[in-house]
Amino acid sequence: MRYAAAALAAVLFTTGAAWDPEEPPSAVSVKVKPGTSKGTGKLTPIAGADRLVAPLGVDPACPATIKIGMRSDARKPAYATMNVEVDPPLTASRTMLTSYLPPGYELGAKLLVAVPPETKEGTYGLRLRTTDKTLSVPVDVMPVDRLDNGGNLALRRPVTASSQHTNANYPPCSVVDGDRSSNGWAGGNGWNDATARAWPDTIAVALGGAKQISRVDLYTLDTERYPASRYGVRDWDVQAQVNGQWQTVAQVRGNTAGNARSDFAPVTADAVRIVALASNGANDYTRIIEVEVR
Amino acid sequence: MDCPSRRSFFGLGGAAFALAFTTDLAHPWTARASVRGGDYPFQLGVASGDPLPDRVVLWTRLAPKPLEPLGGLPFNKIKVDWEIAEDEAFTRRVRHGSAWAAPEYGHSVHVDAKGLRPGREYFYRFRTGGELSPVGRTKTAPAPRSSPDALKLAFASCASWQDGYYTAYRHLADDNPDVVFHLGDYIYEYGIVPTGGNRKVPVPEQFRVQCDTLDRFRIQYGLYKSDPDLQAAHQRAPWIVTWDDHEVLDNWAGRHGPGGEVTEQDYLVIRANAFRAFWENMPVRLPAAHGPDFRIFRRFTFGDLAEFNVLDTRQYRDDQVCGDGQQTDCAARLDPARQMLGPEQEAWLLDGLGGSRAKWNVLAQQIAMIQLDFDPGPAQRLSMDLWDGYKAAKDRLITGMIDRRVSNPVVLTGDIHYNLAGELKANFDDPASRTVGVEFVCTSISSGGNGNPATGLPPGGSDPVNPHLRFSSYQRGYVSCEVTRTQWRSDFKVVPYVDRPGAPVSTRASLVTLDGVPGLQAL
Repeated sequence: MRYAAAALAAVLFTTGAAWDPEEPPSAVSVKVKPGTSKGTGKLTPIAGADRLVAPLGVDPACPATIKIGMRSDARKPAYATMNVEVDPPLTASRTMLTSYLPPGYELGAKLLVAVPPETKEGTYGLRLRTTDKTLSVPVDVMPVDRLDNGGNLALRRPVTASSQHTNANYPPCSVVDGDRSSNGWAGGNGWNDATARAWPDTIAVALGGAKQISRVDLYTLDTERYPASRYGVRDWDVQAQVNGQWQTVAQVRGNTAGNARSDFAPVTADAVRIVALASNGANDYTRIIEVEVR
Repeated sequence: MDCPSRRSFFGLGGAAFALAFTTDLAHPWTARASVRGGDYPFQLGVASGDPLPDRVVLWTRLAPKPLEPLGGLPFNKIKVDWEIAEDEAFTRRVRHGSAWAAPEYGHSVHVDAKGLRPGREYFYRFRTGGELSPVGRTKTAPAPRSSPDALKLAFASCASWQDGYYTAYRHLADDNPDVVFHLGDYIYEYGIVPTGGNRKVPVPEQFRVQCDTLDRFRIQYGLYKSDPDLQAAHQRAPWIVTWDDHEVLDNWAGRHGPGGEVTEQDYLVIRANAFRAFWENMPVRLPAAHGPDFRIFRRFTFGDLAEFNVLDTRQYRDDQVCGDGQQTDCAARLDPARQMLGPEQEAWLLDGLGGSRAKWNVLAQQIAMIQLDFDPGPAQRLSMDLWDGYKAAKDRLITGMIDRRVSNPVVLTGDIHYNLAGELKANFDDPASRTVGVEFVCTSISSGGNGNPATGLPPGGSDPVNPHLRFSSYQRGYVSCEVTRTQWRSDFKVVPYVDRPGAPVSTRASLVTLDGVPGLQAL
């Protein structure tokens, strides 16, 4: 049930319209891939990557993520279980993965790996165990300065936002987690402010020192169910913090697309701030998936 | 994975074992006090459900650590003893036995305690490893051919944990009903932020992600069922439950998931996980869910006084049309081919209603059946998720009840987080058309937060846009019903806040429908 209560209050009755915070959209992480079972009865652990890079000292609301899963070569559908072990002091969002699994199916789910602040740099072990096989995935713990950021100066840097919606998982740090995809909205991969129909909303990324920048790419919510033309940010200013002062370096107006690139004359800035001024309708929130700075 | 047979679930019970159990029970309360520690296995309480005249399902789930996927237990089966007695001190024990709590089923226990007498109160408890569960109170249904004078029931829905405290469940327990109907959204599948939402009770990081796998659904139920007010409501009366959308995914419909990046194949795996977790955690007399199809619609008869048709309006429906949400002029909602209950359940329901000998014929279901026009002007804006979005299916049901001369139809509804009472019309667009029955919609236990006492339609008031509506309020609570041979009385119980514990309860409205006189009167 979504939205109905707010509308009822506003419409059916004349006094004191209640405002019910709307329920968040689905953010499931399970993905399956059908296939043909070999009929061996085996359950094989799988991982979405050979290694996982886990940055040190980042906001715990945005841990490192990796796809984990399992593949069934059973003859019949079953509820299958895989154990997840990680070397301390790292912690994982699941100690086991249990799911219905038709034969031949491969199932993937999201695993979050958190790095406590006292963790030493180095390589740690993540092990995915079924009764048939153990898959080991090395986890490289390193400081943000050593990450391969592909030129994106915002990647994994500290983020501050004017507010954060709390009815699902919308951490500000998610706009610099390196994931541009809108998939998994409300599950920790984007920021949603807490102030419906109130503007502006701001989100700022500290660049870890003065850097020369000339381009900002903003990715707003855009899926088939939540298209940017209804759910995305429409108008915003791009600001750079130069010598402690915020200055507007670019403006975007009337955006209806999932992403927009702003180029501007190079400035040397300590931080970049998005000042959101309007969205494309649905409840008038700011919804940002990723901000990249070059 | 191997499934234990039903025999291994229900058929155990050695004599020596039972003897040891009895001896230990000489001092039940001192024994219980001494085991309340970090490894107490009954932290999710006990429950009973699906009462019949001679039997009731007794439930528990072993979980010394309720926020872990296997409840802090090893992947082994564990033997659990149970007993049921006529008195709270267990001096008049009538049945006992033991059952396995199996890891494949989240160490849940479902015992169908048979050989009971109709229409009476019983007390039950479990024991494992020398530790005793709390004592639950339950009640069997009246004898099949009896003519009970009265039935006291409560119904509730929509209890988002992070939206607030379950104070309304506590007050529901204090009402001591004969039976409780839960109409769904017992859990919400959403992730929970570590600060714990409106409750401000911290939860582990594992709760950040949304429920999709069985391990994740299990810890969600573990969190919800750790709540002492919810446990009190289960311990006080048998429950008859169904699900709504949030037991799986927001506004799921039949084979259609939420759309976007979730494919039908993903969705059916998630649904299979959700159904299994529902089964593990509910006191239902149903075979364990195994896969994405799970029949839960079923019927309960309370003598010749009332018959309850417990419906599933999610699993067999066609997808919401015109993009879901509220729509004006959506012609597709009128399509006669579209299904809400699915052909099998619809036929089962109409056949049951046609053959019923009960005075009150109840549909315990999820979504509002009375027409709800959300547009204050002449336009008609209707919700595509409610029965309004499935107009032909609704008309078939209402016409079917008229044709079968069904005695006193009463629809009990949840889902919408709003208290409503209204009259079921043969034609909702014609206020002069025949009134067929009544609908009572219970608000949420906690979903939506504190609510607003200043809004709503006073009992007996009239809404110009929805003239069949007789009452509404946007507060949290539940509905308590006193059913007799002459009238059905519904008391809408509300609490002023849920963002902190301990709210008092009050009755916002009392409405009555009289036997043989469809329609509502405010008291």
